[in-house]
Amino acid sequence: MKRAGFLTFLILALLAAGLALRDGGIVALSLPLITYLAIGLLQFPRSPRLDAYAHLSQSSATEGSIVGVSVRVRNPGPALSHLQIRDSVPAGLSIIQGARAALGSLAEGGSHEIMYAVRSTRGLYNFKGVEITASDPLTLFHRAFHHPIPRSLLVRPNLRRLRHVQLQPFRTGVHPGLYRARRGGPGVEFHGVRPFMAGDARRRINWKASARHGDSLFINEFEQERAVEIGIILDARSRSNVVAAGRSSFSSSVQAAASLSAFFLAQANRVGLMLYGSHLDWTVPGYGRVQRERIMRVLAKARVGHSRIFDRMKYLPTRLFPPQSQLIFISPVLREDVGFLRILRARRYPILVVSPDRISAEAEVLKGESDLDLAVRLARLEQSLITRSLTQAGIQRVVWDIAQPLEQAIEMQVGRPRRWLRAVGARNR
Amino acid sequence: MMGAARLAFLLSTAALAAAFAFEEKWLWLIALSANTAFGIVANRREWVPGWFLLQLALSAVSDIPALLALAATTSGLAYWDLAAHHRLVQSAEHIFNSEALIGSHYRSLALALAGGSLFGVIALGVPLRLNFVAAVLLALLAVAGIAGLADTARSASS
Repeated sequence: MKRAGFLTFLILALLAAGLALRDGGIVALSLPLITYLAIGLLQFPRSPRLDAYAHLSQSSATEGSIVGVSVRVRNPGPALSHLQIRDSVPAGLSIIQGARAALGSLAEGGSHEIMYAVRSTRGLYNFKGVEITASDPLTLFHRAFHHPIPRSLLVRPNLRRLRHVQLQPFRTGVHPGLYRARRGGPGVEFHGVRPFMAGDARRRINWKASARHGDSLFINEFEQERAVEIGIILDARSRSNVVAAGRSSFSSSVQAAASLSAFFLAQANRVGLMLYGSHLDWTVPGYGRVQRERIMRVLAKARVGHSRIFDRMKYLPTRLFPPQSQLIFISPVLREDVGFLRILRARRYPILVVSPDRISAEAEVLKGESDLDLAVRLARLEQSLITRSLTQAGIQRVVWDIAQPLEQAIEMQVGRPRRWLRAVGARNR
Repeated sequence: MMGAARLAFLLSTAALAAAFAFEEKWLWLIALSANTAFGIVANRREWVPGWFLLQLALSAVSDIPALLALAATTSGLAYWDLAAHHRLVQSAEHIFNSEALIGSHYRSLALALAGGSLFGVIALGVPLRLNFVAAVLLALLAVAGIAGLADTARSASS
């Protein structure tokens, strides 16, 4: 309409000038413009009919992976000489191949497909739809259509493969798992002996103990291995997360939460997730793949935020977690958080804290500043004081330098020592 | 496409230059030179509508032979259209059925230019004497017609 408006203005100006000056030559100059405008209007598609279909190569992907998008437009109506197709790409996705918009013409019954590939960062992306604009061949008049084709792409955080995480749960659940329940029963590790009872398997009889006690038989009992209830708490407060060299420490926290929840769910534990930052997002504990998908969906959408209520950890609704259930905090841990964690430990919650090391990240940002070394040393001193305070209360803490892989930090600090290390009696704590 | 646009630009300028030289209007020729220089810059900076407006003003108010003015206007219109279409095609991320797209545009443009020139020539050949009232009535009719055309186009686009 912009060009048509300009043309209309010129025509009116020429007509006005011609009549004012009583000059037929000036009026005649407007005739090519009027003819041009009229031809554009005559060839403008009155009632175009267009069908649009779109789909994603996958609806769920991991961070950094490439997802293909295709949009097909079909023209069941009369031929369209000028057509613009544009797919809406949500912010956060970058096109790495192909084009999301196309210009061309479609014959009657013809169709065209545009294909492109996007690289994804963590998040949930909703594609709004396809915009199609039909115009006359002179592109004077346009008719736009919006085809809302709902598509959503869930980009989950990348998972790190953890080998072993040493937890010390106070209480175990009823389902079989991998954590010692401190109760006799079926298992692998020796627990004790007890008198033989009808129905006990004969292969479990401890013949040496039975021989010592004369007329009664004794059987070996093993320690039961059960699943545990685990609550993962992810710190999404904006003041406890820093961005350094284009990477947020929160991204590392999300990756840690995803890896840990996937690891514990794979071991048949019951895992819940609590995210606190701008609001509280609580995923009720559950088992299995459905729960894993639920948690990944929450983590994909997780963003840092600020709230007066959740600015301090003491307002965390810990009653949502069953008494004595294992808690895993993924947080850099600020100085004022220590008191709350100690109180929680005193209420007999076993706690593991995984702290992305924000000091290295912040030092990276401030590189070249004077007195940086001194500041880093002071910050490390404070960190070690926090760690000591937590350790004294019986809280495990893993300080994770985000430049290193998560599994390495976990393995070094709360993993099971490697077999060869155990053989030489060394501990890797 | 840009070759055809350049040709239209040259034709428009040449028609006006010939008219000014023929009529010995040297000051107008200087003004035309300035507009030609502006046209060369305009093509790079998307100011072609401005150039076309000035070209049309030069044709309309300089009192030159009407046929040459009509030729300059028609070729100026072609340049304005081709430059805009070239920019549209250049800015497209991907083009499909390009032959049909460009072919239909050329056909429509040729039809518009031929029809416009023909109507213009016919109009110049028809002697018409109007008194003031008739001229005003015709002007009102033309304005109403253009307004109706624009309104139809707007309703079709919405």
